[in-house]
Order: sequence, then C-alpha cells, then structure tokens
Amino acid sequence: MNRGLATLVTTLLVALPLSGCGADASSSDGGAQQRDPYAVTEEPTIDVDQLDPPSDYSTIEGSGFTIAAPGEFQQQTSTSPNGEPRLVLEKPSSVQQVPQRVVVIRDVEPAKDAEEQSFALETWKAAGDKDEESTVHRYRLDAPDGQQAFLVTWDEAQAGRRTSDVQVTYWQLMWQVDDDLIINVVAFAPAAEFETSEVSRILRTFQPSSGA
Amino acid sequence: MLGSRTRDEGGAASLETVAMTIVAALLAVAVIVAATPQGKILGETFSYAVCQVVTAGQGPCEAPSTSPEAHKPEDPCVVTQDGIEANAEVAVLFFTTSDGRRVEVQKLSNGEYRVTVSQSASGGVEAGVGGGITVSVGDDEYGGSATAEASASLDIKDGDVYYTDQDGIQGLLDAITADQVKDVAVGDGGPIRWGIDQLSDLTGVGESDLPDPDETFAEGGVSLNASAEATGLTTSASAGIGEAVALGVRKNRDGTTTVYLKASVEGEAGYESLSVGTDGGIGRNGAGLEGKVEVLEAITFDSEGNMVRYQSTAVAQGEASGLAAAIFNGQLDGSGDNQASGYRIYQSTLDIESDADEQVVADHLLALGIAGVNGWVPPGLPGAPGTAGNFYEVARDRGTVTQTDYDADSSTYGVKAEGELGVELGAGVDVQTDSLSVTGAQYWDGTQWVDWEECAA
Repeated sequence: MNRGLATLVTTLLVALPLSGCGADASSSDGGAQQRDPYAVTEEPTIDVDQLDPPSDYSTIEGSGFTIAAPGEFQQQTSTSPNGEPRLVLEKPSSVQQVPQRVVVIRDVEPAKDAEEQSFALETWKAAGDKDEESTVHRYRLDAPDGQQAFLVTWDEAQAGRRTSDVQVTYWQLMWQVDDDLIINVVAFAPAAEFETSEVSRILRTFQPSSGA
Repeated sequence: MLGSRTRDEGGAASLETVAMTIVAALLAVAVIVAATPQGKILGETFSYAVCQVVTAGQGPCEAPSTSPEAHKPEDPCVVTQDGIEANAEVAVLFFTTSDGRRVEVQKLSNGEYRVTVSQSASGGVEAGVGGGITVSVGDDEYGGSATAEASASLDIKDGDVYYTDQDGIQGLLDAITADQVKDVAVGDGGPIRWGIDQLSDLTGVGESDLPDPDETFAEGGVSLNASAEATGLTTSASAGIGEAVALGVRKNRDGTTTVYLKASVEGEAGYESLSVGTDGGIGRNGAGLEGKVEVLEAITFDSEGNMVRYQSTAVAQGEASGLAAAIFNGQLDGSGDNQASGYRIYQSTLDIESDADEQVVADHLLALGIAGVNGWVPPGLPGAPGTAGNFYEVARDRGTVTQTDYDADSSTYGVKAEGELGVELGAGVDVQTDSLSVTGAQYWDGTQWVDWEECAA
C-alpha cells in the first residue's frame, strides 16, 4: 500500500465511525457484502398492522402473549405435539367442515428463526400454485427491538380434501420474541367469508407479553 | 371386361396388400421381439404404440417399460474432492468458520463444483433439512435430503448454493471466505464494519466478489407446520395431515422449487400394495407391514406450479434395513442387510410426464396420509385411489432407482484437504473439516441392479 492510499485508509477508518455513518450491516438487508436470502420482497397492500382490541372483544392471557376475541368465539386450551400449551379460538362458519378459527402455537427453541421459517412457508405454499396471480404473500411487520414478526397469507383448497371446492384463506403470524421462542398465530376461515369474519382482526390483536 | 380392374379397385387392392403386409410384418416383429432378451420392454413398447394408434390416443394404453439405459440416473453424483486425489472415495468436504457459517465443497461427476454456504448461526453442524433421516459422522449429523438432488451428498443445509467449474472454484472460495474473514475480524455490523465495507468499495482491498447464489435453501420446523397443526385439530388423520411433516424448501437454479416432507411408511399408513407379511413374504393384500421406515419425500414443481418430479428417499439402517430394501427393491432382503459401519441410501425418482404419473404420486401421498400439497391438485383420473400403481413399482418400471453406500470412516481426509484446497482463511478463523465416503452405488436398470460407475468410487 503506498503512502497516499495508507493515508486514505487511516482517514476513512477514523472518520467514518465518527461521522455517524455507521449503519448496522447486520440488519435485514444484510449489509454491503452479506446477502439475506430470506428477505421479504413486498410491502403490505392490506391492513396488517397490529391493532388495539375493539371494545366488544375480551382479552385473553395466554402463555407469553395476549390476544383478544369477540364473545362468540369459543376458547379452548390444549397441548401441541411439542408439549407446549396451545390456544384455540373458534366459531362455526357457513361451511360445516371449515370453522372460523384462530390458533396460537408456541415454537420453543425453534430450529430456525422466523425469517427463514416464514420464507420456507411462503415458498412451500407457492410451489404448486398454478394461479397467474399468486395468493401467497409474506410481509415483515413492525416489532420491538430484538424481535421480528412476519405475516404469511395464502388461499388453498380445504385441507384434506384435494377435490374440495371449498377455498380457505389463511393468515399466519410468526412472532419471534427471542432466540428461543417463536409464537405463531394461525387464523383461517372459508375464503368467501374471511373478510367479514373476525379471525384476521383477532390475529391483529396479538401481543407478546413481556418476559414471554 | 372380366378380370379387368378399375383404377379405384386396383388402388383398394393395393391398400389391402399394404395393410396385410404391415400386419404380417408387425406379427413378425412381435415374434422376434418376444424372443429377445429385451422382449418384455420392446413388446410393451410395440403394444403401446399399436394401442395408441388403434384408439387414436384415447384408449387405456399401458405405457411401456423403458430401456435399461433409460433407468440410468442423469443427475450428477458427488465423486471426489478436489485436492484429495489420494482417496477418490471422499465425497464431501466441509469446514465451519468460527462465525458459525459452514462451507461445504463437493465435486460432482459432471465436473462441476457445488459450494454450499450455510446460514447456521452457530454451534457447528446441525441436523439438516433431512432431519429425522440422518446419519452421524463423529459429532456431525447428515440429513438424508441431499440425496434427493445429487444422489450422493448426504447433507442439505439452509443457505445459499453456488455452482462453478474448475477455473472458478478458487475465486468463489476466496469470495466466500473473504467475507467471513471480515465478519470475524470486525463483526458483521456496526460502524467499523460499515467503514471496512466502504473502504473495500473504494479501494478494492479485501473486496468480496460473491455472486448471487444459484440455489437457496430454507428449513422449517414447528412454525412451518403450524397451519397444518391448526387445521388438523378436529379433522384428525383423515384430514390428510397425518404424520407427514414439512421440512423445508429449495429454490433451484433451473427455476423449479422443491419442497421436502418427512413421512413414515408402515402398515397403518395404508401401504397395501407393499405389505410385508409376518412370514417374510411381500404381499399386496393389505397385511400390515412389519416395522416402519421413515422416508424423505422431495416434490419438485416448475415455475408454473406443475409437478415435474417426485422423489422418495430412505436410509437403510438398523432394524429398518430389511423393510427399506423391500420397499425400494421390490424384494425382501431376508437378512435385513443391517450394515454395521455404513449406510445405504435408497432413492426412487419419477419424472412426471403424464396425468397417470401424477395420479401415481397422488395415491402415494394419500398412502402417506397426505391428501395434497399446497396448490397442487392431482388430475381427476377415473378409478379409485390406489389403482394407478404403486409409486415404488412405477419408479422401478419407468423411473430411476438407486442405492448408494456410504462409509463414515473417513474423517481424517478433511484435515488434509484443508491445506490442499488452498483456502486462505486468515488468522482468527477456526476451521473444522470432515468428510464422508461413497463406497458403492448401483441403479436399477429395469431388471437388475447394475453398477453406477459414475458415482461409485
């Protein structure tokens, strides 16, 4: 390195941090050299922000979270296959075999972080999608420092009935509270009544508790 | 005039003559075909062609078996590791830098190099996408899913995959490791790192020239399967959720997407056409299978959502060896073939080229307790489920079936490879290496197992 270049290097190394230009290269865009293969590629075009519970909703204290729902949603607690507590909020829909349902599932010590798992979910759901305009979308939501949240939405034929003509709309929120916990909120209803149902609004009232 | 023929009559006679000649010729061909060693295959081809003509392509013509050559795998196979010529059996080298990233270098049988950069945060090597179908080498676990792609690599990790040739491998490794050296030296964020990156941009000093990856992997877990769990709460196994678990995805360089799931093949899964009776014989009568085999299913879709390939992989290991052999070979391995120091990977592949192929896959998925995969809907062919043919039988008939043996006793070569690869990682980078051997590989040629020379050491 010649003297001129050495001077430039020294100047830059000293001046740049002091100039306040020190952007965090570990952010989701991965910095100048790091590529983040799982970054989201689209901004929300629907209302997905978290909302305060409406006055006719009741707040439910779950394991590491709160969520609110109207009184007509029945509340059940059970245990997931991974041994964690699971909350189910449900009411009948116009389709007997597909209720309006919101389920909260805890992913403790997750195999991968929420960004990667939500990418996998998005790709998984889109893989066999023949529609010209995919119904699969994935958004990054605002979350406190140290946390991250992703929302994946999609439509699919009623699970378990490959010839079914019942289309079901899904929203799945993956909220990474910390390295050891992702809380999933899955909301679904028949596509024809999803927008008029309360399930997406219930999902949007989700909040992780402090110390979850 | 008697005996005279009009031009039209003469033409008709000529057509009759031609037709009879053709029929006679076809019969002669059929006899010859039936007498040849490849008679079954050629005969089926002949019958299929005639059936297609007679029914104008609308009849229930049974597709022919394929030639032995058609069964030979076309996918490249990991054969050796550059710089380890002393032992051509070594198939995989990987090293883990102290920032937790892992780099895996493979040389494929087509001359390409495949370099996988894992995004794993820390903790060295973890179970891969093929979690649940893994083999262990020392302290490391190799998932079975990679066999879905290259038939030899036992490991798929989340992260980016690059392909390059002999001339490009060193530059690629330099770019990858230079980036990691910077991470280790100054961290992956903060003002110092930002300054270093800007400096690189200005001067080219230490500049990483990492290209966009050819493929991207992502793994799942509880969160990936949460919607399936939520959906199946009240509909139980009949909902098609079953025991199958989504493992992960891969976006491939050819624009296709592969999804991976893990399932179990056992009697209760309804695998009626591949049952192994308590007397040791293979049955098709629905008798329960003895034992259980975990299978890794890889389903590939093109960019338009069409299923283009289905692949099933199992590791023959321990008590499951005999059953895996029965399923993939179509013959019961009486000894169980429990290999003491190695592993045998069975893999059946069917390229989807017709509605009938898709129906075979649909039936196979149903047998595993999976009613469908996302937006994919199988064709509505007539016939009850299960009548399209057993997937493993169909794969043997017109697809590809391989068995590859691995020896895990080769970990010393990795250390040797470190220097010979010429990877200048710089100070402060802790490099770990390990490797795995392919000790033999065969494919099913339609009638028997033959050596897969391009893959075998």
